[in-house]
Amino acid sequence: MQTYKSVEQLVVNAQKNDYKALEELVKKVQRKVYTTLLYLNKSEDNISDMTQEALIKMVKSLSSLKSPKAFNSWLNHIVMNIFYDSIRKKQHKPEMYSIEDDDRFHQIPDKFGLPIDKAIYSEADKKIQKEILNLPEHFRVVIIMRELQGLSYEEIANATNTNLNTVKSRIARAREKLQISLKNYI
Amino acid sequence: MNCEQIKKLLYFYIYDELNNPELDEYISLHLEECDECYEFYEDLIDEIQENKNIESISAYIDNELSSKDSIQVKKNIISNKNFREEFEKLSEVSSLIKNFFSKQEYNVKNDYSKLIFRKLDLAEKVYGKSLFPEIVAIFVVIFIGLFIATVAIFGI
Ligand SMILES: [Zn+2]
Repeated sequence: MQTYKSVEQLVVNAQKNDYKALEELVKKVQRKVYTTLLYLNKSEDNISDMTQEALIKMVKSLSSLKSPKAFNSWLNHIVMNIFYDSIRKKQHKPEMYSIEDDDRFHQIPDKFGLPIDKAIYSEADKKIQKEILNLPEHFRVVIIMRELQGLSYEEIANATNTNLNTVKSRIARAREKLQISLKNYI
Repeated sequence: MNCEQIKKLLYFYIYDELNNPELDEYISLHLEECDECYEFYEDLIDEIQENKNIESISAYIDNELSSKDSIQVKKNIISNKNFREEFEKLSEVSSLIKNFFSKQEYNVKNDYSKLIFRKLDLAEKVYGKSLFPEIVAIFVVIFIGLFIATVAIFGI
């Protein structure tokens, strides 16, 4: 078994119909996709379905990806589209809560726990989780892209339809907000 | 124009975004005459400068500055205490969040690979052809064989 290959190498091999590489690629990225959707969506509702949808789209269209180097930001586009689609769907259902709904937000820490072991949560982790989820959406999105996905400012600007200066300013302000709310844990 | 209206325009005045030379001139003159507005103007410039500093420190942490700007920030961090403290705070918050996310990621135990390859009809290609039907067929043949043999031998 060949393991510990870079994502880029797995993409190159998978594009040549190496199905073992494809399997390894899916296994390698699925956690990040799941976590990204979880923190974008702010609750566990439908995250499994959305993750599967993203992975299926990824496998289906992998052959159309021109540059394996761009894989991460390409996958991010797929994930973001699925997230925005889910918001649009929710907006058509009046019985659903809106994204910024406070009551729903306060339930979130307890809702984690199906796939994620509750026991590993320290007080500090709970607080960090709460403060990330508490960020306004345009701040939360750039922080997820930067600190979780490791995208560059340029990739984030493309993904959010903004420019470099906006990305730079949003990341800085989001960090400042987090720094203030988490100063007891730093 | 009164002072409150002037104050609202100062941000655009500083960034040269008024696009109105007469208004620009009017505000310049007002700032020379009015202490209150001038003080507000200076505070606003400080605030904007501070925001700019925080932005460049944050971008410096991400290695997203041009080499020239990056050298400048590095110099400031070394020579200026406020700068250094801001740098330390932002670096710490960045690694705190990064570590938190990687812990979260690591704790996702769900494995969707089998499910999605099945949905995509790729299971055979990924996992190889399943031998299950063949194995069942062999057992069935053996069973029937034994049954016939039993009947033949004991003549039931
Ligand atoms: Zn005045």
